[in-house]
Amino acid sequence: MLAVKPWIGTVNEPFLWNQSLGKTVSRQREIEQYPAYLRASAIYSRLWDMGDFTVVFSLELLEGWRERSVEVSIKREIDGCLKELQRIGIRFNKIDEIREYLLQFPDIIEATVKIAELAVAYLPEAQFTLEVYQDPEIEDNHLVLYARFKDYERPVMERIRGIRRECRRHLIGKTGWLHLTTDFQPAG
Amino acid sequence: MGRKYANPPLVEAVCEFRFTPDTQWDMTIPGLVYEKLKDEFPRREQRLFQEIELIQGPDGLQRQIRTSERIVFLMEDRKTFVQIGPRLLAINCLAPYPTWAGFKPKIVKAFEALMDTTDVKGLQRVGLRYINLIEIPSSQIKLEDYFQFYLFLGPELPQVMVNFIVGCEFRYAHDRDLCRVQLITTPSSSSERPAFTLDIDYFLAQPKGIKPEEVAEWVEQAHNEIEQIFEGCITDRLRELFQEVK
Repeated sequence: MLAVKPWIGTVNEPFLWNQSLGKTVSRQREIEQYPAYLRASAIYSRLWDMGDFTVVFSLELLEGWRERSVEVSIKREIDGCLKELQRIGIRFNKIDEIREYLLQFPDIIEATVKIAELAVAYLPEAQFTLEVYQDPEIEDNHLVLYARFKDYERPVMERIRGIRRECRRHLIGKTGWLHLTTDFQPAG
Repeated sequence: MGRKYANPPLVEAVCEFRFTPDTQWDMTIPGLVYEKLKDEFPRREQRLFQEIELIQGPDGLQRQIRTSERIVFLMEDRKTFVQIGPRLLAINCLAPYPTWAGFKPKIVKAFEALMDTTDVKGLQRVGLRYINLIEIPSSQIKLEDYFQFYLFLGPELPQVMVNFIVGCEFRYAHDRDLCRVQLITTPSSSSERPAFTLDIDYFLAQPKGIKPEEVAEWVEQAHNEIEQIFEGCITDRLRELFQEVK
């Protein structure tokens, strides 16, 4: 039994820690003999939002890690959200303010990812920037996802309004808010 | 007594309890616990979570997704809150951290409120977790200058990493407890300021390894170990950034 159990691997170069052999298995052919492990790694890499990293566990390790699938840390939940947004190409303006907003309104963490995914899917040519909008006149702030385009010849607002209708169901009953719009700035 | 910092990296501390399946649980429990905590945690909210569980079946690991409800009781400043879900109790504390002397009584109070409400048969898991966000004001850094816990790359590997995660588990109390330490790259405010999450999770690894009445003593011990691990993970250069108060 090891006192320290290491794990790390990338999507292209996964490795498997074989507890019984006491060594890593790193060749693809060898790893393919462990389909259950690979499936588990796919799930966990999604769950823990490790970006480009896939973690491959021995079953023994996996047993111990199973219960972590229920995340109780808001900070780690937000990190997961930000990494997922980054992975799909969302840029951030003042990430500290976004973190602070999500800490204040954690019930829209999941909705933020879902809305961003919808926006990216429906507006594939757009570039997106997420930021916190602070209304200068009233004490209200919310998240804004700006879609920016190279040209604005197509009916942009009409398309955005269509996506907003789709987004609304993710925001019903939430204390926070995310608004999808454009500021008609050119995509960088 | 651990070191004190004027600019501490701690962004969240969480104490989590999971109760054994034989612990009686029903949907009235959160409301009854709220009655006992509402003076300190007056705000009440509800959150839905998608939970994914891996089950070992005849065809290998299978994934089960279910939605579960968690009730959250928050203090007025929303920085400290209690989460209650099926056989789950968690007490979260966001920065600014009110010191261990301020956090521990809240853990004990919430746990006792639950103990008074239902017959807790056993503890499946107890975890005390400290999550630190460390931003370094320099674009080109050597991890070893700031951390004593980092990813080592051999000389034949590319030396520039985009992202990484490194972690390990240390054992304590004759394998009864484990401490999982992870260092992970984190989205930062600027590419000029790389950011890292140092996540230290000390937990009861053996279900029913302690009795419910031993919880206060266990969290104290867990906190001591976490302090030592934290100091063991960083170098004096980070201590300078955190501005140690002597």
